[in-house]
Amino acid sequence: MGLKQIDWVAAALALVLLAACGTADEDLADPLKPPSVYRNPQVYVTRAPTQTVDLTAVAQVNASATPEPAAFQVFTEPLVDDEQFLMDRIQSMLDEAERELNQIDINP
Amino acid sequence: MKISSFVKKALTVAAILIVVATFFFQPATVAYADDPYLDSNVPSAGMTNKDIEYMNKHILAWMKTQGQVFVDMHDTEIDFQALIDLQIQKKGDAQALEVALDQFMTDFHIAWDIHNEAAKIIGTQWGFDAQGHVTNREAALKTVTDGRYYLRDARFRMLESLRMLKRDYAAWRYKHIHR
Repeated sequence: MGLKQIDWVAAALALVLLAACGTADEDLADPLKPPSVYRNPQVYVTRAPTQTVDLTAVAQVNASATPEPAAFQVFTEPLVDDEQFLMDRIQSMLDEAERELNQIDINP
Repeated sequence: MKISSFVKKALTVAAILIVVATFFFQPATVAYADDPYLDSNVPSAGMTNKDIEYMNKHILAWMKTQGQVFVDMHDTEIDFQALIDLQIQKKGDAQALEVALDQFMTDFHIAWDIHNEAAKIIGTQWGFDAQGHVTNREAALKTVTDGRYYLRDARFRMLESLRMLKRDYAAWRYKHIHR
């Protein structure tokens, strides 16, 4: 192999090497891998806003659209009658008295 | 020296008699009814005056707590009586509740008397000065020991009567619900 041919082969190899370096970007090869170099996010503005919304405006609700309850009733009966109240109170007081006595240290 | 068979028999009988006699004549055990917490076995010789003063403070606090339970039971009695009246008004009969309350009140008054006896003993503070320091060791020991004895007795009786009442009351409520 002549000297000229060797130069051509070397030049071809260098081209292949350069091409490989250009395309083998590891960030692009794996789309799930985060880029090693930070790139600014690319924002595309497709159109300018055509109307503005007044956020302080109070929405008007159509009151007539809300159905009125059919009948409004007040529950006047007590939830616990006297008998139930007394029974619960007696039970509670008996339990409390027993607990108090059981908590006393009788061996000082 | 050879021991004759008669001597052997005599020695055996004597040994058996000694064992039997030991079994029958051993000293009687402590009467648990008189001293259920075995206070008489507690050595008081090693007890310092500070210990007695601590015991005195403890039984004073105990007496106060227990006394409050007795006072509160009067409120329970009032409620219980109101429930009996309501049952008589509604159904014309509250015999089970009346019997339970009568039994409880009988036991309650006995326990209350014993508690008052403890309060009398502790209240004299015999053997202690106004600041609770021991002035007479023997008297102070008697005050705390006797006071504790009566407080324990009152507590035990009160707990028993409470448990009886709770049992009767639960039985009545069960019948009342499933009537």
